[in-house]
Amino acid sequence: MPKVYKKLSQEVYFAFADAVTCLGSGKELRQAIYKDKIGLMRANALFSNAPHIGEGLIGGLLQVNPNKSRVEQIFDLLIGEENQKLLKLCDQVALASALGDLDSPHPGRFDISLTKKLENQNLCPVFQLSNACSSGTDALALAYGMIREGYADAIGVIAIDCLDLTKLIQHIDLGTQSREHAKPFSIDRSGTSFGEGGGFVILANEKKLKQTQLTPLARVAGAGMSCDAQDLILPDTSGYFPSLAIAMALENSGLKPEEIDYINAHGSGTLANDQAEAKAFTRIFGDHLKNMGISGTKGAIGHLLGATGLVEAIILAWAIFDQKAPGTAGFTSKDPSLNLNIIEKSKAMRIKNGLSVTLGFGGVNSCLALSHI
Amino acid sequence: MPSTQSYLIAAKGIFVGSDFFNLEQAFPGLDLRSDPMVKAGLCAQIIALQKSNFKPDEKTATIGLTTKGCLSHLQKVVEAAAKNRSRTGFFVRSGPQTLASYSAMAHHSHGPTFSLMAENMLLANLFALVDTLLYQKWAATIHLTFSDYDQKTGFKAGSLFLQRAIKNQGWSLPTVLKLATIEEKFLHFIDLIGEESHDDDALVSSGRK
Repeated sequence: MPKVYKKLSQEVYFAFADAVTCLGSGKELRQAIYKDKIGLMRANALFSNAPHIGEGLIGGLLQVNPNKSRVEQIFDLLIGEENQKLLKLCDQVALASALGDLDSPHPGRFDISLTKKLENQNLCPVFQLSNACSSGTDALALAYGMIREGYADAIGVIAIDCLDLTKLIQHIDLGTQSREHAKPFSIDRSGTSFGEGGGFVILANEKKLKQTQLTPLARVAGAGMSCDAQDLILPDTSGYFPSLAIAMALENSGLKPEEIDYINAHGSGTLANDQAEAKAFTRIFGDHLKNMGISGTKGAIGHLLGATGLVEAIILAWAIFDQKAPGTAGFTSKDPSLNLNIIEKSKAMRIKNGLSVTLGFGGVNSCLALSHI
Repeated sequence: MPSTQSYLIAAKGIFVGSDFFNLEQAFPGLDLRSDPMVKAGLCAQIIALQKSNFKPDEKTATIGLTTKGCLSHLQKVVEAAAKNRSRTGFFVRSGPQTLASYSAMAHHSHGPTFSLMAENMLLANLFALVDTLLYQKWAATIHLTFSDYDQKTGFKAGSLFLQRAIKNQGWSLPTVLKLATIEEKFLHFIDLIGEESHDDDALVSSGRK
């Protein structure tokens, strides 16, 4: 007879985090974020063979090996020797990306090349998630849930995405790629700045923390996901459906809205995104919005597509650990229609609980709640 | 310590072929510019819901499963880009997540919605995710849709609506479906439910650590 289900209610910790973006990786990236640096480059510096794409600013990493796909190169940059050792501490690995490399021989199949790399290290992915811009956040949320359910003591979450020429051409034509840098929540916003990069997080329960002696950055308090189910491209500008993901994260974390000190917003720098997020925040936080800080980092590192949620969750974990909120690089002047307390420059602040919010194509919305330990 | 979870199969359907149903009639108002792989998934959902009285609610979680993704739309995007042209209409509908997003739009489901690339994925891992969503109470119903193109038969798609159940009956999932490919195992899985139960109240259980 099967045993009756018993809730395990394990605490889950952000045991390790690393990321690679155009601003560098690891400590270098962490410092650059707090200095509000902008790491974006001219698009035609990365794609010199395509002058027609113009001079928009993107967060690209220089391609060093034409024989490897861009996602593989980012994986190699991210999972070096030290991180390989840490990866082997995990029971399972979760992979996430939106579309991977469209200029590779297997367009859209990030799972093939990255799974092979993991198999070389005797690791089999527990799942390979592809959920547009929310991919990284969703992978974290599900890994968190799986540890709580007792399926693993530690899960390594890797989210990687690249900006290939094929994708960039589409985004320029769609009008989502700005000619300048992203200016989240600014009155003169002109779109986002796409980029590429990756993040690597180890989520672990207490038992695994003791075994590995890793120093956790933060505790994962909760996670939430929702879907607009309205439009594939435009977010729900009423903010109602995105607010469901935030409400779910708060509900399963047991936190009240007034206990949130800081939000690392999706902040893509498009009007529709800013409106959707601002309305969602207003629905959930109401008057408390004036007491909390909100910032976005896409003006610094670019919109990392399927990796953006994981890298921004890492930035949130660093912020909670360092008790320092990153600024909104690229911010110019406040859009008066948005009732948000935007953090323009990085500053020390008390962050007991913070949220990372991601909105993606397909109407997908995700939210991760982290708490100071 | 191993224990098990149980599921109520609320609805199930399999679609094989390339002769799609009238999706406009089945899902009025739904944007029908999706990749054919997604359309095959929607056809499997029509079969699933026609065979049962089940209606997913707005909190249903939607999981798409695909090995190959949106091959048709991606090919158009990549071919156009080689000539320095964009195909934005196809591009925004070329991600694997569209299988889940379109399914959510078709059924007005606003719960957690995401797609998984099914290459090398064990069905036991898929059901670990289902357990997580149901037993962490992130959703009360999980809608799984698998879809891929098959050179011999056209498209193969399966749709399954799962709910949490207390009653214990049925067989161990990892034992039945160990180490098969997701395409074979998911469709085989739905077939097995039919053979085992012959009704919509089939219960299955999965192992967990």
